Amino acid sequence: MAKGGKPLFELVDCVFDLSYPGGAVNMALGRGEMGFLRRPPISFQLLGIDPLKSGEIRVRGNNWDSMSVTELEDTRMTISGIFDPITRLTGQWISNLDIDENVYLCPAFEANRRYSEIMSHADDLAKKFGLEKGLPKVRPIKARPEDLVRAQWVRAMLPTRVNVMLLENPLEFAPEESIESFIRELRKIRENGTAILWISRTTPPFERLGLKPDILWEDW
Amino acid sequence: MTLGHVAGAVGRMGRYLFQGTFYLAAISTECVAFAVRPSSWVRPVRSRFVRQILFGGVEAVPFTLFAGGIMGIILTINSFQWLEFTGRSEYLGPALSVAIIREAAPFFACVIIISASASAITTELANMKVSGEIDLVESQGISLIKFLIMPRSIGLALSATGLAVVFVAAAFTASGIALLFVGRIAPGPFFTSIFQAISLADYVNLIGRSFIPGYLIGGICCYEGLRVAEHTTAVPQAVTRAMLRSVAVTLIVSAILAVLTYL
Repeated sequence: MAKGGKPLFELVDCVFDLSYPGGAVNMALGRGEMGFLRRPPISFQLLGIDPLKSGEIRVRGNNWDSMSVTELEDTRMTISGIFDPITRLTGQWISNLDIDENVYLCPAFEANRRYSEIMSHADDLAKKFGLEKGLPKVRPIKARPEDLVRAQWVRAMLPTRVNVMLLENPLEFAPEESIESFIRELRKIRENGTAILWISRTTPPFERLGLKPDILWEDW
Repeated sequence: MTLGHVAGAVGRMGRYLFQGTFYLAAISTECVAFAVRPSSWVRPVRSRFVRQILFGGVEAVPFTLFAGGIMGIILTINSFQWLEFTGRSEYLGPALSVAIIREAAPFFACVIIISASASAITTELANMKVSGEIDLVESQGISLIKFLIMPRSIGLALSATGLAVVFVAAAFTASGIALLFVGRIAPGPFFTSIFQAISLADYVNLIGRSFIPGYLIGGICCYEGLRVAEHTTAVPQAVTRAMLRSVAVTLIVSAILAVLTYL
């Protein structure tokens, strides 16, 4: 049982890929809790898009496999993510949309949210993360790698209905000078009750970053 | 080849056709259900819809004018020659209105849409599937039908209808010019006879035979693009399938509407 009450996100005996070292993962994250999972990128499995080898993932008690298409879409809207910049080189962005359009995409589908409000919120976040001119208005392939990282941070923090945040190597290629402001925003989000799952191949220096995960799963 | 092989092949083809028709019907119905809800038309959807009309419709206007003009001249000269031979040249207007409004304009508009947009849509979506971008859209909880299929299908339907009207205008204008060169029929009575010959069924036919196939072509291309397996080699096959099925759907819808409106 998660410390923060009823679990928002649960991994039950999850085996992601037989080629990965380590055994089945069991983890439950409640409101405001943070977990660390030492694994290669698995976001699309965590989001119920790619199948697991075994086990199940529950979001607010519901298994991905038991949800209807509408429930899947509604539930995924409440989970934001940062995708690994190495393995998801092509699948991180929609290539025929500009970076800013990519970032506004998910919040634009949130009911009762004006587009101008989304743009202004995104602009604020972009400036905090070091994008002085706001989000780049270029295709992802033409953007600088560090700007893509910053834009991914903005995209993950922009939706308002987020209960769970999946961070897949969020500091890979990150500009050093922007990391502190990203961690600050992350702490705020956690304080507001969002459960955070950090996934990477190596354990990040959480102490130096000033983050204290509630669960550390490092079985390889 | 035994009878069993033939029966098996027919069975597989039948199942495939049934499946394809079922999915197309499901996608088309869901698109309509989303399209009638104003909340579906969020900015990214509107933007895609406008781009679809621009790329599929507006950019195809010059070619449609060219094709309409050429067809108008060909049909006018052929019809005039035969009608004059039979001594019925006063029927040139009605004959051309039948040939152009009922048959040539909707069919050519759909063929232009298929040539210009069907391959582009299928390739775009298939590449998005192969590169993992479709998974990315799904991972954000965005409906593929609402964001990817609906604006393309409705955009193509409106583009096909618009192009059919442009084709009619270009063909009749070219007919008038061709008659000036032939010199044996005055353009004034010729155009009057055309407008007198056009009935309500012709308008219904022109719009129905361009709008409905255009809408279904969008659905077919999106469906074929999205069902590509995760290899780039599957993309050209998907494009070929999408184009052939689009032509088939255009012919089937044209035949059904012709029967419904004129019989």
